Amino acid sequence: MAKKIMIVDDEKIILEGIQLLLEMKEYDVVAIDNGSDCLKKIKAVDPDLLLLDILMPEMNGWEVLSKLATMNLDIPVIILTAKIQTIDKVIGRNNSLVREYITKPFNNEYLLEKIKNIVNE
Amino acid sequence: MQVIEFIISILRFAFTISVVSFAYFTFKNIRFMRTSFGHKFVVGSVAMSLMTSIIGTLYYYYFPSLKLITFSIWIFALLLLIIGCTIRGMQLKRHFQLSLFRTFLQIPQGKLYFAAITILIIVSLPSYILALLSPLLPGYNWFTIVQLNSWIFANFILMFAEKNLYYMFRSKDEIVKYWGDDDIAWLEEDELVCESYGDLTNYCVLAAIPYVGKKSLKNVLINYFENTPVLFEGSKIRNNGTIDVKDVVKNLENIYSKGRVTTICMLFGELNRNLMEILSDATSHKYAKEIYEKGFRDIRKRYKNKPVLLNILRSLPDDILEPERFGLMSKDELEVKVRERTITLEKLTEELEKANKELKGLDKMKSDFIDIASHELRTPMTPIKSLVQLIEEGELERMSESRRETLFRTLNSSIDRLTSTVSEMLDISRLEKVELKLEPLSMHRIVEKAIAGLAAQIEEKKHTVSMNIPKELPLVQGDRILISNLVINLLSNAVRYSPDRSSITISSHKEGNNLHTMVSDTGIGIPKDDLTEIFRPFYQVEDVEHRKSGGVGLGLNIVRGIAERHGGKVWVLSELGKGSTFHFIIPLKAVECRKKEV
Repeated sequence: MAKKIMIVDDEKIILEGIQLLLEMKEYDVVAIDNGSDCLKKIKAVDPDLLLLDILMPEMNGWEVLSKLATMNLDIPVIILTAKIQTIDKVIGRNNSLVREYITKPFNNEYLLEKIKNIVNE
Repeated sequence: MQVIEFIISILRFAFTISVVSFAYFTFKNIRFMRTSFGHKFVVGSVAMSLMTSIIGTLYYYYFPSLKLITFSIWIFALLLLIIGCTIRGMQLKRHFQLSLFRTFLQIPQGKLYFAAITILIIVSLPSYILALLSPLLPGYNWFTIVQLNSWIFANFILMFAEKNLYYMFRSKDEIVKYWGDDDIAWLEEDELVCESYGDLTNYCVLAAIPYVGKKSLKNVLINYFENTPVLFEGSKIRNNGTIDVKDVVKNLENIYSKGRVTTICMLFGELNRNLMEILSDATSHKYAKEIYEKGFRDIRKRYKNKPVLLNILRSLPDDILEPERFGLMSKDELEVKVRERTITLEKLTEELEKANKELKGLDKMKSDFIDIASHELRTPMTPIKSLVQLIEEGELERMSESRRETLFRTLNSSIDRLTSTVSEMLDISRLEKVELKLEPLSMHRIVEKAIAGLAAQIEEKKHTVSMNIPKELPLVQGDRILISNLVINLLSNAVRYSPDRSSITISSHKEGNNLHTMVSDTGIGIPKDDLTEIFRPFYQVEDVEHRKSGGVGLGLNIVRGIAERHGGKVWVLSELGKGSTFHFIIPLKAVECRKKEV
């Protein structure tokens, strides 16, 4: 059965691009364009992995992460962001759910390998 | 024998007269002697010599057999006088800038000192020796009398020389003879006139003080460099020989207020320590330090290559710039100064803190901009890179028709995003360099075109855009591209920030020599604090991590830049939740302005 991946990003072009990529690699993809929708749907979707953007309106990635922690959901997260500052990396890795931190733009190969490692655990 | 006895009794009488008149003379002149070390020393040595000589003579009469002790006492008295004379000679030598030899042989006072020393050595000393040997000779000890009289005669000469020192400035010619004509002081009736370029003013003025005595120094003039009148005008001499410093200070302030600081410092420099000793009486002098600092800097610069002045400057003590040294500033005044300085420092600190805060703000703005710019550029690059790699791997072959469509649509809009971000960033830098191509423009046409250009977005958000710009409005003088850019920027902001199905209105009217245009929306509005801030470069109303719309935050800055370059301006009125109205005015006649620094 195909692994299920949820992507949360406010940018339509990114959602479409990554969705296309992952679908071609036989993943089941749920694309969501804001943080609060992600929180609403995540229980029902129950993905094997969450690809999360940080810079989003209304509710940013950090807020989504902290809400997730209070919901007692153990879903591995890969942060996908265009922010490259080191301090963000540190904050990202300090969260127990966050498994990887990948900056945009990325190499498909790199992203796919990380995803594969995590979902096949 | 009777003749000898007669001579001896005359000499004894003369001796008595000598001692009495000498004492009177010394007493009378003691007032003059207070002013300098040299005077004190000469008078002191004469007085001590007199005492020891009398003691020696009495000793001689009562203990004729103990001649050696008597002789020693006499020699001691003699030595005291010789030392006093020599010191005086050395001082004269310095003042007259002559060799010691020439000082003693050419200067009237020098001659007198020299004569005194000669008499003491040639007449007095052999008399001592003869007196010592007297038991070997018959008769009275007339040698003793000769020696005492010659001694007293020499002392007379000394005192005369010492007193005469003050009265030497009798005529200009006489002075010029010994002094040369550049450093001189002479008496003209009751006036002491000094012309000095050098160290001697010092001496002249000091010499003048006891001469003038209690008289007013009103007539003392120092014709200095450019005939600078001066310092002692109206000053009074106190009983102790010092000048009432208030007068001097008044003169200083007077000169100082006329900006002749250098002149004063010349005087100070020339008169240096002695004047300072006189001034040290002062309880306060608020300008002293300033005068010193400014003036000496000035002098040092102006007279760098003049050795004479340099010597004077070098001879000044290092701490001469400290008015406290001369008691020129009271403790209270110091405290006031300290308090003033503290206040100034506190103010400066405050200003620094403010500037620091502003800098920090700018810094934050810059790093925000880098965050945003990086995000804006990386976002469209992400799908481009990802999808191109997918194509490279040959996945395109396996794709369904609809997926291919998605792929190319995503690629296209990513590239569009990238292009518009880059051009927005370029606009702002181009705006500063580009030359305006002015032509008459119809606002009606420009707005019409802008609405047409944004039709897709307007359609997407289902806005209603209405235009209220009469065709017959006068034309504005402007750069077609820039003015269009301005309108498009404002309009697209209105479209972007208003919730779906809003109504947007654009209207223009003539206002004096300007065309006033307004772009109103019924959008979310702008917080009051942000109304002027939004025109700053890189400014985003929302904080960086919650940004809603794309864009680097330069749009409104560009708008302001364009308006200002045309000699117009732009502002915004807004109410939160009700909408905003952006206003801009562009002059009807061209007033091109350089773009201000942003």
